Amino acid sequence: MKRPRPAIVVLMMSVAVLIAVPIVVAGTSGSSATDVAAVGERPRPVATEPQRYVPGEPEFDFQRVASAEIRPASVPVEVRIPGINLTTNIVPSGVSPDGEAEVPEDVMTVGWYRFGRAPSDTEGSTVLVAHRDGRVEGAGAFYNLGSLNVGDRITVVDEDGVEWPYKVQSREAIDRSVLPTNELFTREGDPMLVLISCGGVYDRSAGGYQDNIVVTALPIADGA
Amino acid sequence: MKQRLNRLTVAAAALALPLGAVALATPAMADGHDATVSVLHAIPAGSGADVVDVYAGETLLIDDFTPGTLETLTVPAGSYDLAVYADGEGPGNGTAVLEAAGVEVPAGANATVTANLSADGSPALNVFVNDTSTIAAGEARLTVRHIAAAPAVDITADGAVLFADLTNPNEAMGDVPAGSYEAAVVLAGTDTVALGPADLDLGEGTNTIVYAWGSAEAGNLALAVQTIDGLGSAPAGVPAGGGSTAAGGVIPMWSIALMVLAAVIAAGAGMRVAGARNR
Repeated sequence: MKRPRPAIVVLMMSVAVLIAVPIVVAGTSGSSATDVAAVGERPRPVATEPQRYVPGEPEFDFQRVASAEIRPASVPVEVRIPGINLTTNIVPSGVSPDGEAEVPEDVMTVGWYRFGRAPSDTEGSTVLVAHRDGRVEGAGAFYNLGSLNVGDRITVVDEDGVEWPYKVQSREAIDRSVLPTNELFTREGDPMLVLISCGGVYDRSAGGYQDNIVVTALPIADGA
Repeated sequence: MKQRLNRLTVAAAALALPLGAVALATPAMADGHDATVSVLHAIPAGSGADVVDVYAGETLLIDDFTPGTLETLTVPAGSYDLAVYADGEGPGNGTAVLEAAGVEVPAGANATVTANLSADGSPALNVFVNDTSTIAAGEARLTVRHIAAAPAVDITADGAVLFADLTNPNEAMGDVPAGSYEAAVVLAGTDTVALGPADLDLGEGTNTIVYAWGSAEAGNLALAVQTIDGLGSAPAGVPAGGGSTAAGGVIPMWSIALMVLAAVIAAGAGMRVAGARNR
């Protein structure tokens, strides 16, 4: 006759704990901010001057257009950033269904935007993306991206074992909602390396970190 | 069309590249006053047009043009009288094999003129406008043009029809996730393979234009491929926030584990309470 009551108590206690624990968990991870001051100046892609047709001269200014050569890029496989004690793997990443760049789920793995340029290309951005941290995994590959300074060295190693050295040109935090992806993911202009992670205010209800931390680096001659 | 393609490509595949496929890449841009015009010689050898000269009015546009080749030119916007002559002949000394008068080429346009066989095997000139509109990040554009002396065809992907009932001189087009596909050209409504199957690599931000040309009767059907790159766009953003578990407020595994553990302990305690009461 009394049996139903203990069962209900058990159930209620379990439910109470199920509700309480996430509240506590959520409470410990409220707003936090990482301050990343901007240093250096991000290279801006320069538009190639289009060829101009001058009406009337010559009568027919036909011009053959050279066929562009399609050359498979040498896939980057490892990145080394001594300044933040990082040596980690790179995997190719693409675009998720929502149109944003894919970021590897493993926070210690860096993604290379495979639809963009590679270090072996003579123009455009090589873009590397990684999570800042994971709530389960802790600090990610790019956790300390915001502490890189102008002049810091970054080396990208490609699948052929070739090392591509870069020096940091700029570092800044940019509101995630206005990230200039067209500039950062450019396929044109002087070659550069772009590293993107997250930072700034962490607002869980608004999807996590509100900024992207963006580091640009320019290629340097080997040994420089 | 786009949605349909996207669904089909999950199952897989695309277009075959057998006999002497011609792959040429052309830049997409022309400035405000110019247009980009490609010319494809798609009349099979042995049809009396093995080597031709292409004229625009009195001006020699392409010299010694051979079957299966594509030339891309930047031309001022305007109206053109195009004519194809046998090698060595021209407006002054010969009769055009093919003519198209008053072809309008607007500024900024990107078009391909094909010299090909009609469905019944007679020479024809066709003008196609190439779609150079922006392609979403991660996607590729596939255009298929039927300019062969052949009946209606379907373009299939792993047996699934991508484009149905394509006839000379028409085209079909759609945007699909970039990548490598395997596909074939089959006679419409049948399983009879006319070309392929083979791999076709659709590059991101690229319009890959596949021409089925030649003659079914003469047994020289072939594919020519023109690519127009530089149409891509950047991804919308970089969601590199707090790892996969932080995005969107998903509850992390360890907190779920903690909850379960707590619930088990609570249940155990409850059981003991219950047990004590029963005693």
